[in-house]
Amino acid sequence: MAIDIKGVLSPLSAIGTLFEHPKTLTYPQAKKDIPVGYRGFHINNLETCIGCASCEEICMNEAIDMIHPDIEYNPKNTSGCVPRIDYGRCCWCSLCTDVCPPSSLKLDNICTHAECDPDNFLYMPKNIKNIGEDVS
Amino acid sequence: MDLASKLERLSLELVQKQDYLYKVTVNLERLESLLLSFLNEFGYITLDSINCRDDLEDGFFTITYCLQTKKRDHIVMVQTKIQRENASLPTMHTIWPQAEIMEREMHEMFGVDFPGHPTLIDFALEYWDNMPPLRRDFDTLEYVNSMNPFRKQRGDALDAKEEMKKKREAKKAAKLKAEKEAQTKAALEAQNNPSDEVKDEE
Amino acid sequence: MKNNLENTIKIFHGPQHPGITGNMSVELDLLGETIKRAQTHVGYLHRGFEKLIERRTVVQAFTIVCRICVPEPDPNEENFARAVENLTGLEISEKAKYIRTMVLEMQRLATMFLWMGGQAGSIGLGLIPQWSVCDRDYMLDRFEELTGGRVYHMYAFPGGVRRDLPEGFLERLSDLLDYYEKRIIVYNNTFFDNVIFRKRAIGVGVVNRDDVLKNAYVGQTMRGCGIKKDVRKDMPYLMYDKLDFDIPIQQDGDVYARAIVRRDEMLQSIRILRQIIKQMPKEGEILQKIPKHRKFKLPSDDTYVQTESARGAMSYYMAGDGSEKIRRMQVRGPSLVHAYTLLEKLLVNTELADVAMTMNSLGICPPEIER
Repeated sequence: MAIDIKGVLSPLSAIGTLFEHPKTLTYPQAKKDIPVGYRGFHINNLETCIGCASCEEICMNEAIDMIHPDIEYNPKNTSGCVPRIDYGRCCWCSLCTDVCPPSSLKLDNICTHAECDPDNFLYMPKNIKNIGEDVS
Repeated sequence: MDLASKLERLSLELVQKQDYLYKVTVNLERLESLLLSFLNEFGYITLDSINCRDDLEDGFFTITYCLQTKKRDHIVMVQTKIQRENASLPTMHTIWPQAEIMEREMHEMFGVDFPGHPTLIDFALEYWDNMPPLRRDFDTLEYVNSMNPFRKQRGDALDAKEEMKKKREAKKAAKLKAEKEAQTKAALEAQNNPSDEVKDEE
Repeated sequence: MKNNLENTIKIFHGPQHPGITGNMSVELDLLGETIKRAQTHVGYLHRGFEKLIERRTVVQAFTIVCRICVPEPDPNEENFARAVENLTGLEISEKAKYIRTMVLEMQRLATMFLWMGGQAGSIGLGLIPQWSVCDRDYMLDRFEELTGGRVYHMYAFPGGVRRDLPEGFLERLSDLLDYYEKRIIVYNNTFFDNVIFRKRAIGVGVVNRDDVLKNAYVGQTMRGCGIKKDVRKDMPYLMYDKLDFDIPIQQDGDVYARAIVRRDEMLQSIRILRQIIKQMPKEGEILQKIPKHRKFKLPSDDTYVQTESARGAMSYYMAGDGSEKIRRMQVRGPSLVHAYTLLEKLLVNTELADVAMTMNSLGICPPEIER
């Protein structure tokens, strides 16, 4: 049986990549840019939220509850309630943001959350006007 | 289409649903012979899938066989209806080997019996003794609630519509109250200066 | 037959991931290293998608279909969207059609890279998975930009697509395609021409050409046997009838032939994407105005749609009943027949070490089998 010389030698070309720059990022020092429109965590502008519960109705995972907020909210809010999202159930489909009539509910591009207590996965959307305003 | 005239001889109607999709409806007695003639006479050698739909309200299952020719340029749906109670279908696994697995799945998910099928064993569910799960009278939510305990954590959800009603009523009450207050105030004021009121009325 | 199984031992291959195939197990009867009987078992991933969809409205059901197959969600979304459009008579604009075609081809490339990782990893070439998963991630970056999600895109909605193209997206995609063209040459040298892969793959898992059409084998399994069929050509959907591409075929029907078909399909995908980038209309509505989700009703009718996924033809049967809920949606993915009828037959008289490789080359995706 003849030796497949091309098949033996051509994989050795992979040695050349030893001298290339690595393609991975050194994570804590260098972070990847997350593009605008990434489906991350929710933000809700309480100044414009009208408490209509459209988001609660469309959520197929039943992840959204309407509750009374602790802080000041839109005086025109019809029910006095704002959405709170159970991140144990949310699938980040962003249908809730699509149906929001005043577009107060949006998805931020932040997506890290670590917690020991599973009850803390009930997430109150950050009260900010626009994506990326308050990152801290 | 040539197939249409052939089916007309069997007094069956071919309906075009989409560009590449046709449908024939047939009763159960003629199903097996029709599928065989589709295979042997019309050249539909591929059985793409067997689909089952539960029409609970009318009391039957709707079974759809999707067939393709060698060219695979269109699909013919052969549709039939069977009774929901003691549902049973002729097995096709001797003609199309892949029908074995499709029928096994249908047996598990809908409880359709296939006399003569060699391997009607568990497909995806193990030791399932409840009602076949894809029948529409099987309630998933009830089953899950009876099988699994839920973590109690979200008891504080409010019904937004009721809250809206409450708020509207509260607003109305507040408005009424305000009106009443205004009226009593006006009345008090009127009592204090009766002359003004008389003037106004005039 | 029973005598053959006399001195065999029984082992389970799986359900942990061998290569990147997913949670499925094959029960093997071994005589030494040789397999005498194989039996597929699924059920480790049964999540009842078809049952879940029964309880939801059309708009709500749309977000769940992409989860039916993790490595390639987009053909599922396309199938779902097209089935609903067929039933309700929604027309989508040309721009939306182009975008959907583009997403499908991007997904095909991404899936092929993941497949390459699984195929090489299952025969012990550890370098290729690291490269190909990295290359797939560049495509996922483009998806992230376009749809907002990396793996589950939830993008093709009945009536169009959910978002418009971001600014400068097509240029960045074009750059990525240039990079991919260079990379495929590298993969050619290190993987497809590699003597290890050739010796392992040639002559293993040979599919009989006569069985293919009757047993409804699809995709590369069919094209690796020299049968030139592709849903994109035979029953063109979206913009595929206006795009120019070939269907690559091979004659041998073994694991190596299927690998070569997949490599050629990657090149064809790049060719299609280049045409789309050129032809993409600048203006156009991307999403048809659809009624609110409680008023979005399906007529009492049924339909059957087929899409060419990266592993073969994937079909959906959908029936409505005049209400806002879907009465029945049945998925018929390429892996159902491949994992049972074909795999059980192919594995007999092969060796234990070839199981993962054969599974991978058939494109088996277990969540699609049990739904």
